[in-house]
Amino acid sequence: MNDVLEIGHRQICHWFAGLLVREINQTQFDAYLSGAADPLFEQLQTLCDVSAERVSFSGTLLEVKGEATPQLRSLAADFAALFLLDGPTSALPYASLYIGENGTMFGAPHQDMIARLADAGLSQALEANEPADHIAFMLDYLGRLLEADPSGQVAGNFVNDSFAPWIDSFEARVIAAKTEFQFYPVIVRVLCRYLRALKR
Amino acid sequence: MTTRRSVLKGLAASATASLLGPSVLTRAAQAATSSEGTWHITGSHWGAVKALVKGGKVVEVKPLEDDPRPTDMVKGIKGLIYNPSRIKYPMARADWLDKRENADRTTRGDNRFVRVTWDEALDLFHEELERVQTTYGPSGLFAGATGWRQTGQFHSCINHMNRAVSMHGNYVKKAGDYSTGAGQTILPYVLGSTEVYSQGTSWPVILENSKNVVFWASDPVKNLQVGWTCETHESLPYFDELRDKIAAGEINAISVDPVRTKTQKHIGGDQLYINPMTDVAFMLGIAHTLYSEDLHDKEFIDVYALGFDQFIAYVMGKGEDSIEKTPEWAAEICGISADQIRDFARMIASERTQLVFGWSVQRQQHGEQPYWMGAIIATMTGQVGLPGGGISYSHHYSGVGVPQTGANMPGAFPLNLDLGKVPEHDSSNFNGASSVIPVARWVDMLLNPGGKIQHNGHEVTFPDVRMCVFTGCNPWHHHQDRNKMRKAFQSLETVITVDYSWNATCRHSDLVLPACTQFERNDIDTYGAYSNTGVIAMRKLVDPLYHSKTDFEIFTALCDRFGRAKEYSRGMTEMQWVEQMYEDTRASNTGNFEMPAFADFWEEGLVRFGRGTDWVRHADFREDPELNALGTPSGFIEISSRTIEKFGYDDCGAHPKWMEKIERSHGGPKSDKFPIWLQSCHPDQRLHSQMCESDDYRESYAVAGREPAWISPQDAAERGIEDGDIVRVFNDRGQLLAGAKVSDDYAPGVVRIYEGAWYGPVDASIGALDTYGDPNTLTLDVGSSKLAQATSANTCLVQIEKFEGDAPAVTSFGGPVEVTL
Repeated sequence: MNDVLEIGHRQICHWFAGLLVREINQTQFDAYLSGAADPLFEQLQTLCDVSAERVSFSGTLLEVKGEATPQLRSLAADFAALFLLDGPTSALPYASLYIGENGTMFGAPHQDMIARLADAGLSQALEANEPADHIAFMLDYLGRLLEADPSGQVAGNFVNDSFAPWIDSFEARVIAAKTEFQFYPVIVRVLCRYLRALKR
Repeated sequence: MTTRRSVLKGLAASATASLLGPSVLTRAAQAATSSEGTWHITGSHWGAVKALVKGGKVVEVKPLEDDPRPTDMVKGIKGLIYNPSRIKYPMARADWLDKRENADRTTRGDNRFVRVTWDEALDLFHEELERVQTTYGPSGLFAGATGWRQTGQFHSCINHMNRAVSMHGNYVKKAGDYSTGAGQTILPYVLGSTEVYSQGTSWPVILENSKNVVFWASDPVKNLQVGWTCETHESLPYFDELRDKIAAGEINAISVDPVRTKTQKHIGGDQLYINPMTDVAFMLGIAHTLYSEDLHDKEFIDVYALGFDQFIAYVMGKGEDSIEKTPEWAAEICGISADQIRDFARMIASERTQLVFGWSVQRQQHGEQPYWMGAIIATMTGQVGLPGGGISYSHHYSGVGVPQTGANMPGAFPLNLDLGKVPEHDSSNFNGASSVIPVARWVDMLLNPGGKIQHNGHEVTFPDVRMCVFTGCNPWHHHQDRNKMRKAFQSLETVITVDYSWNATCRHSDLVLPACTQFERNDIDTYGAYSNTGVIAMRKLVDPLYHSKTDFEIFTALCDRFGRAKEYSRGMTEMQWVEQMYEDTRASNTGNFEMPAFADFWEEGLVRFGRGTDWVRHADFREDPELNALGTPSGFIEISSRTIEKFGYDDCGAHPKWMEKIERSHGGPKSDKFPIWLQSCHPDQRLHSQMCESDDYRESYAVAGREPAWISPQDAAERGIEDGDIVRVFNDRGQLLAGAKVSDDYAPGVVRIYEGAWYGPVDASIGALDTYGDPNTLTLDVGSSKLAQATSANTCLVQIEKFEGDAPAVTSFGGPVEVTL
């Protein structure tokens, strides 16, 4: 049990990374219902206006709560449709897909992230062999940059170089995708506002 | 930039911390990587390739230097590995996961999947096998459909799936295949073997001895780009020699085809256009000419064949229909003149003629007939078994005709249970239904459990199948009539598919397991499927991407669910299998072909056995028909078949006949409503449906992002269609969008859309518009006849119109769809 939790950029990025790389579980969902995300939204609000999204997020939590399907199945299907499948229903969270070698995976952004992670002495902690330009790795890395350099200069450059070229397209695809709930589209809107605020 | 932080304490801290989860990055020592990268050799259907692997990524793929005619398709390999359509994790259809057999089956194909762990996925796989075996017995499970698996003798997914599922229980299996179903059924009655998968007369022999080479609905320059095992492309230079001999007037080549083929354009020679699906009428006219002008070889027929009298009586109008099959009679049907038919007959009889048949012509209603007639024409010329004469049904396939070395090739991972072993569920009670069905009738089986059909002299009773397992096989490409399939799939309780890309079969499945590609595993393969040119090492280029696994790992883990993993794998690892397969091959070649030790082979990547020996098909039979009898019931060429006659079928009788089709262009049935014949032959720039997802490469041939529909200038002009337009192709069975390619290679009334185009409907409804151009959205799903019950894909009429308005986006593939911000 964490008795004390400091909420800063590292935690914000960590939160987004977790949301976009794995489905939420029942414990997390219950925590959201109890307002556990409020400190995260409040922290974000100090940087960018996410008040409207916060209201939407609360609303969609209640909609999910009213869902009859067990074990957050519909939310997991939304996650899959957005981030795991492909085609018109998806918005795969890999930079290469939007700015790499004509839409193939493991492109130049992947190579760039491989180099950045290696320089930082970091590697993937997932069981799967995911491309390094999965947005979750990029966000975790960003959080570490922000923590190491509170001025945000290095992180801002990273956002400019590695996120800015594609997050608009990513967000548009998420919003255009067919999902049952607005849980993930709202989260991605909040994320993109945050990243735009970090741009230099 | 804010630097303010907040601090939470107590329960609030714990609750918020629970939202964060574990970090996705960890501290790690920096791994040394080569800046230069490393080149590795591996094999593929598209030939042997060298791949540059740098930083854990395949950055370049190019043909091996000694490939004499590399295929352009090598360019698509990278796009196949790194395609966004890759299946990344085990996925289960959301509704099915909760409700299993009680799930809503009408929503199959709507993309509502959820991720499951490998353990969950394999438990589900096992639970469903258990449920179906204990509830319905073996007749409830169909695991028979197979396709062009990725290459590699060890990881061949067909073998892995069959062995694993067989260990668990018995199941409904298939007979035949989609490529050659009619041919491989009729020819054993006529020539004693399937012929379609047999080695043919060596090309040097043909080039030396033939005066006429007739390519009958055969396009080897297109189809020899790919091979069943690692393709060598050694056959293709022979077409350069053929081209030179044609130019020099030494060989006369004719392409009997409604379309000017890639082969004909390469070698030159002439095209003889006949109306689609009228080949048998044309051949009957030829037979009439050969007989009436006394051009047939009576002595050869007397010594080597049976049943000529019965056949020729039919030709001469003394059979049941009392119609004399004169060239004039045939000309009315075929769309050419009677004199052209006579001239053709005189030509093939006058000089040494090699008939080379393709497979498309037997993928039609009554598809057995043109193959049988081809054998009769060859027999009437008396040239069967002569160098450069007779008939072939395989020279467009996997390097047939390249002289064979005689070396032994690697075996494969076992397909079946080991000797003496029995399945966990050993029941053979199929509830009165058949345990084997003709493969092209499996959708009929789903729609009509308990129904009965005739098949090759037997009655087949369709089992009540509730579950299907597919691996390395995309029936949502190769089967006919998508909308009929959609209805049929609603009868299935469970569909499990193992593959590496989200093709339409995966989308219509309940459980999808991600196999890795062949470039992510170690294997060994035959180099040259018929030539036995060598043995190639298939080095793993990169680790399995995402959470994919090798078929070996997947099915070993499945067998572990019922305690038979060790029996399945024989306690051996991937590399132990590969090494053993190599050493077994090496031992079997001792004294004849030298092979290096395994370590050297693995480092070198390829061992070659030199040039093979020239050979003539059926020469041994011609030399001594008693000692080297054919595998027919009589041992001779059966121009008429008593065996088939006894079956009493109305659509495949004692000898070949002209039978009208259920639909036929150029004045045939239904051509008033749908006037254009749709030909859906093997593609030029993919292997069936493999590589269609390779986006960059697909863009090199797609038209307006759609599969090309090749159409004649006349048909295009009549419809206001211009090259590059999006067109709607439709009939009563379905509709699709395609991109118009206007070409005078195509005759009026003929359109070609290559099979293998990925199905991408606008939605999950029956009748939905296909957005990319899968021709099997339109094709007819009936058996060729009661004999073979094979696919009739090329019996298909359509109409075409220019598509007006905003075309819906293609839904078949992954990758970014352009969005307006």
